Amino acid sequence: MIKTINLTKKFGSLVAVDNLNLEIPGGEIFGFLGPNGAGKTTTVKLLTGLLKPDSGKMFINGYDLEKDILKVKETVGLLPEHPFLYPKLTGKEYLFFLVHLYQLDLLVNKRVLDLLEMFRLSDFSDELIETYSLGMRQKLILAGIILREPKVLLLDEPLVGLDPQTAKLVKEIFLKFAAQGKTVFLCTHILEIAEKLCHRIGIIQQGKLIALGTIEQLRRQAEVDGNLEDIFFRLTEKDNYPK
Amino acid sequence: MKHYFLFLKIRWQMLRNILKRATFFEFLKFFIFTLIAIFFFLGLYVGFQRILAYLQTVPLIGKTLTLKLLAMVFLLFFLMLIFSSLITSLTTFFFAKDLSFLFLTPLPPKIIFVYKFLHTIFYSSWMVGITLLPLLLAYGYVEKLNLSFYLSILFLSLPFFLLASSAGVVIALFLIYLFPSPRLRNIFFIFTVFLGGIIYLLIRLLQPEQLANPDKLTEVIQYITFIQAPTAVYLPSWWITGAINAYTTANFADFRFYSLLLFSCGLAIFFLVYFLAQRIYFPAWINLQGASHLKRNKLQIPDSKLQIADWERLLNRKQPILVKDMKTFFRDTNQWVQIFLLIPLLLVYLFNLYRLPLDTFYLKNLIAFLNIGLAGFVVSAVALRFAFPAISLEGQNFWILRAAPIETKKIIYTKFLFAFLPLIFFALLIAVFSNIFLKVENIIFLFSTLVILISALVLTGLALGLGAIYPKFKVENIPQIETSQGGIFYILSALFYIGLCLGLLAWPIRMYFYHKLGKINPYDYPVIFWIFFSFFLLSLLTFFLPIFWGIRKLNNLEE
Repeated sequence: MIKTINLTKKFGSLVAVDNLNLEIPGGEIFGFLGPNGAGKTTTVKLLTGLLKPDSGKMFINGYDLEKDILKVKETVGLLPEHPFLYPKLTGKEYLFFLVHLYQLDLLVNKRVLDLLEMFRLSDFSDELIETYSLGMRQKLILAGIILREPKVLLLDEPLVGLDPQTAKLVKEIFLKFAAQGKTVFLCTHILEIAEKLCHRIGIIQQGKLIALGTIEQLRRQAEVDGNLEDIFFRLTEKDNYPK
Repeated sequence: MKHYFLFLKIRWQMLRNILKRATFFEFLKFFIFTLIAIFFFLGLYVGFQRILAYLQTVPLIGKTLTLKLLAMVFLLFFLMLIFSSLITSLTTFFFAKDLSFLFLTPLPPKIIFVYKFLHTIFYSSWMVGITLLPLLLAYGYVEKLNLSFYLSILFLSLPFFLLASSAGVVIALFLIYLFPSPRLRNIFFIFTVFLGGIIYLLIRLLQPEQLANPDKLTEVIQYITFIQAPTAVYLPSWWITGAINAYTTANFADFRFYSLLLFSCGLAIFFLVYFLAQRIYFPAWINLQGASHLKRNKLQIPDSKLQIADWERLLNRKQPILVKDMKTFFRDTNQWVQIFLLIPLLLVYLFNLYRLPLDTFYLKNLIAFLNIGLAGFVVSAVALRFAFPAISLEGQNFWILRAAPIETKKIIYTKFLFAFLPLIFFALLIAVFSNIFLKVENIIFLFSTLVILISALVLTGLALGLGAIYPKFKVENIPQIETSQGGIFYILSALFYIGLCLGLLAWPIRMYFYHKLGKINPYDYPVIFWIFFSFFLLSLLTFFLPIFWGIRKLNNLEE
């Protein structure tokens, strides 16, 4: 579960996130959309403790981020916008590193190999990460997240660079996670995926949440009888900018 | 031609953008480094001038010695240029980031080649060129030559640099063409640093100070007479030396001959390289791209990886970050290659102490005391290289640790452990061996060893703490971290700490000297107590405060 109350983050005079109020229950795939620079990545960074808010509160699985940051980190899996990884470790070593860093049960060692297989990285698992393509790095981070089985997934553009087979696999995994009662917070620019996958969608623009709800609710709010792309364009048109 | 102007324009625009956006600190850094460089070159100029002026006074063979010196220097520089060009061209021709872009444009590969060739000549020659300047200025001054001499030499140095750089480029082209491996650059890099270290060590072990010893002069003269023959006559280094000599002795026929030789060969090698490049450059680059997709970095980790030793499993479990740092350190050449320079530096330092002519109790123990300061300086320089960048080296991957349920102080503690163990070993080596070579009294031995060890501990903490306060996550190489604002602040703080420690500890040492000189009641115990109290307090604060602030800074990081 994710909950934010009047969450605000400023960078100098720029208000990156402006009084954001969200409540996303377990079992939901939540799509977080917005144009470039709208505040999506900042929100993800705030929710993982990589940035500190200027005001407001954040709760993840009932833990207050301000007070129980380590508890939050234990239960959150993050896929950042740029998949930076240790270039001098091999793929397999990176996953084992996570096993020890997160003090996971050593029984998951077998799962490391299974996940490498699942993401079709087995042939490259003993190669240094510096030789991996963008998509392979993305897959490795996703494998690392799934390995830990977190209760909340924070994903910033998770499907960028993935081949169609892996993209399909990843979508299935997200659905499975939601079915298990876990929360998936998905930032994306690919509107078709958000439309197909997400239970609810929030649209952020210039730091403000300008729309929130199911596709049907958004359709009514935008007064558009089309798909998510039409809704998105209608809601983010210049005239509709929040004053 | 218009392409080259376009490339030049882009370079100029990049430089202009850097200058426009430079901060005050960057200008200050540039100013400080320029000042240091000017002092260095002034020193070189004075040194060369004194040597050349001295050689002029040597009867009969003075001129020959001068010529010999010039020939040796030019030969050395010629070899250095070839090596420098070889290393540079591996980067410029094969690993530069703009190559993929350039080869995608409709530019013919030969234009790209010439652009990169000019680039290589500039980057591999400018340093050697500047270093040659003090020698030539000193020579001109001693020989009382006019401006036209400098202009002629400037003119002749063009084919000289061209010939040396071309040789390096040809070797690089063939190497990559025959062995298209991305590791080749690393191997050459390691080899260069290793060679540099060995040359430094050998020069010192040759004991050049003995040349100043009149007893040895006969042998030196005999040796020089023996090698009066020209040095490497078939190499451009001798041709340029010959041209300089011909100019000085107003033998213009020889000057013309050597100048023509330099220019004709320069032109010939340029066309040879150009011809070769058309045949092999693009295929070599393509081969290398293919090679980089092979499983070149596959580490032979057997399936038994899961059956590792108990201690290894325990270390992985208890210190995963430490294990990760160790793996990264040994796999990244840039992180450990300086050890090849550090070991010769340490050996030369100890050798210098060993050779010091100390025969009195006072001198030996005074040097042992001052050695604390020198050792502290060496340790702070090593900590600047190995402890200060520890946090910055996490780079853009730092999100992995920051997103993990691990406290920042645990990260710092692990980094400290990783940097401290080798540093303390290094400090212990300096302390023990320098005291053995100095043959100091046991009490001074213990005292200085203990102080050096405490300093090493404090300096590691200071480096790590300031490295966390001033992290640089988006740099391309380690020297950028070392010469950053934080790096300079660290080295100044470290020197200040060492200076304060020496100032404090000089008092009890002086009392001990008074005691040894037979003074009655030399020890003032309350003063000794307060001095040691201050020393420990200073050390504790220098150790803990930067670490404390560093943890706070990382906890509030906004990147």
